[in-house]
Amino acid sequence: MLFNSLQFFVFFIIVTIWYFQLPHKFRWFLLLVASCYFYMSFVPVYILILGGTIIIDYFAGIYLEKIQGNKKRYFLIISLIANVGILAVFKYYNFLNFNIAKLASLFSSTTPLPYLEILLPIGLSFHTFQAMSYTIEVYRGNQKAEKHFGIYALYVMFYPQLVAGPIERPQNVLHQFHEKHAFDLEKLKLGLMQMAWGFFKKMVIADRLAIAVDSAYTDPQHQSGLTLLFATFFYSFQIYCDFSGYSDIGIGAAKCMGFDLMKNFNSPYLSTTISDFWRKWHISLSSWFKDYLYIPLGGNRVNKYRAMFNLFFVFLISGLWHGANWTFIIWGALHGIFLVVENAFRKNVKLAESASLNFITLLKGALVFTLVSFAWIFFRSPNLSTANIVIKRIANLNIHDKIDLQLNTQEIAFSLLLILTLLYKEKVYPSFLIKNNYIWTIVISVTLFSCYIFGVFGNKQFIYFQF
Amino acid sequence: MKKALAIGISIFFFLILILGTSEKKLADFKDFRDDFGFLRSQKYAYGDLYGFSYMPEFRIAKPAKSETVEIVKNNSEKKINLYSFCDSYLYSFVNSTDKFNSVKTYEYQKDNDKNPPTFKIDTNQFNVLLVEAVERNIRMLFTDTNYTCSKLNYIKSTPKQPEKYNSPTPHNFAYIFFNPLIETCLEYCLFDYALFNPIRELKAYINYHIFDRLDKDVSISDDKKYLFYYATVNDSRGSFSELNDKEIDKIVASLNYINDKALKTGFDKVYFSFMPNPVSIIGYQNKRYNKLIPRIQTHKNLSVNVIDAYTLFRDANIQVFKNSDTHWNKNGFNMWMNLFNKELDSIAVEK
Repeated sequence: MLFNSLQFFVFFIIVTIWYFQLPHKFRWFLLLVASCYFYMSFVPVYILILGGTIIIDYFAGIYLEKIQGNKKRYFLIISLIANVGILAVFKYYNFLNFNIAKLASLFSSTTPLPYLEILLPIGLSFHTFQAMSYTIEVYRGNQKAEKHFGIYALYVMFYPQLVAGPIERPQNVLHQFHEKHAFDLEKLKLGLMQMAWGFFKKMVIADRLAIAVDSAYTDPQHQSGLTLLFATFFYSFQIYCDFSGYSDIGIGAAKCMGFDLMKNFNSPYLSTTISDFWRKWHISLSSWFKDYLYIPLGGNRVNKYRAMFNLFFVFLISGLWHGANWTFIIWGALHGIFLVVENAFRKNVKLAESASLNFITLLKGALVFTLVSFAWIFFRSPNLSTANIVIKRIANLNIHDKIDLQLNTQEIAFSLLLILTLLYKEKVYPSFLIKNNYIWTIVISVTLFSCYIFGVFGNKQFIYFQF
Repeated sequence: MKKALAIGISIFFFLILILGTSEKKLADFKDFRDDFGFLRSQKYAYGDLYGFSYMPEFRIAKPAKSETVEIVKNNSEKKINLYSFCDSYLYSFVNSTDKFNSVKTYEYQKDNDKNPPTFKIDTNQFNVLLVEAVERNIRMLFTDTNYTCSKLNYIKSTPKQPEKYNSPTPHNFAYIFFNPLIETCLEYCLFDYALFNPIRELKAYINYHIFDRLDKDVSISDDKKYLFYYATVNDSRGSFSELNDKEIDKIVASLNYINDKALKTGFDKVYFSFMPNPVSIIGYQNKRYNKLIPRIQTHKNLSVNVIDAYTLFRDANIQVFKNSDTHWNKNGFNMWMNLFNKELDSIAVEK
């Protein structure tokens, strides 16, 4: 079920109302059934894969708590292999097979492995990582194993964050399912407002910019450099509004029922360094990689070169996490390189950070935005040759090129105005509670009315659903 | 009080969700709404293309009496059993014998029906089959003979069998809960009311007059008087798309096959009638019409009877299509009925 659908509108109202009407002891059941319905409305049969992961990790958690020593370590490894195995089969098997076959063809050989006719279950990477964080935390002793199977299943399946995160930690969420949430009008208002802003970002900004981006990237060969430059600029904001919009709706929906999910974005395009960008972009994934991969690899407490390798490796894996395609791997590698270079010049960066010159801050912000946008070219392109064409055309652009973005001048101007509004709103009013109910009603009504009047409809899927 | 209100709201939305997932219940709800003017669906109230786009300029109320052409009826003996395989051009305008001359019984199959009724042909009677298709569907329907034959169900008359009840299989069990058309159904239940028209029209107005954007399913004619279905203007199977002779040959062979098969099964006469896309007659941005219908109808190998709607409409000096709809208007329908009735009257019934 897409958040930007009428089905969700109806579903959300029913679930939220019933949540507060039911006695506390039945609420977990309502949320679990609702989450199953939410997930099954995409492709019903894939609930079985999710169910498999839940069963494995539920028992893994209980055993990990009981046993000690090497056995515990082996048990964790088995559980992680089971999770990564499911991900590998559904997400990476065909990609790996294709590349091995290509390699084999260089030596005039073939591979006997067949291609699998399978669809990637929606949100697989998200809920697999969330499940893995549970077993790791139980192994580390930071989290008690959850004995209530239904509550554990809900931890993995909780509908607001099931399909595209935030990738939660058990310490943050699990206890909330045991707690009784009384109806809180202020939380409801905050949650609904965050949802409304999420819808605005998705339907008014992201889906509008998508018209320009899709038309340019579908046929880059026949687009001017200037068109592709604008499209890439727009894509930076499209993906941000699309993904952070999803997070806002999810976090807001959970907040309406009294749940606090972690923040996933914090105005990333206002960053002045790449490391700052990664502290503000997809925070739940960055921190996952930091806690469960970067630090176990040694983090920066190793020698200089090993630390550089660790950083690069983590971002390479992060790229692969996004998708089984070389474009994502290169996207991850580029960010790894940016960070390695930035760390190498850290002294100078700090010096510049301390200089409170607005001009330098602006320059640094522009540089970070340019580098991030450059990397997005690979992220958006369906393959490397498309990315290559886009880069070449932008590199050879002529200022007199014709811009053809499938949006007229008024709509381009409107899109730019929306981007400015977005940056201003998120900088100045990241989240604020309007105490006065009348003013709140007016603000949310205007936001939702604008979503309808200026929204671009067609139930466009969220970009991060594919991961 | 607050609790009762909350429960009331949740029950209301739960019922809406149930309606949205059940075709049967939705049909009942539709009947209920049709009984009340202010609750009536707006989707087709001013034409199907208005229902897609909500362009305020095209909210054209149906005139009280629009026809300048009347259906010419005669009192000829009713002797024909007429069967038709048709699309909305026909089934939304005629579903009984009263507009036909010489027709005793009339049954029809909709081209988009998932479970169409089977025509049971009594070969002791005089049976006529009419295959009607709008131009935009011709290539889909008739390029693959098996496709049409699998849709067109008829058998020689047999003793009546009790209707078989299909119990829900696991597949349609999932369909009950996860109806792929749920968005359309929910929109119908929640927002398809006259009350919302001004807001929809405001959105359409802003999109068109400020952003130069129309709904993806429509285009506007050069003189701004007609809305066209986008698929007929710009689709790979539209009126201006490429069309080679090989494809025409294939369609003609397919029509001949369908004709021969129907005659062998027990039909005494078979007619085909192809309704031109409005854009094929009216024209659009100086694009060249691919002449799908005339090329079929004048093909040297075609050996079927044709009710020529294309020539009829091309030569008409009155408006035959609605401005905001994919279909003909009353005039177009009546003109076609007169042509077809003339053909029915001319049939020499020998049985």
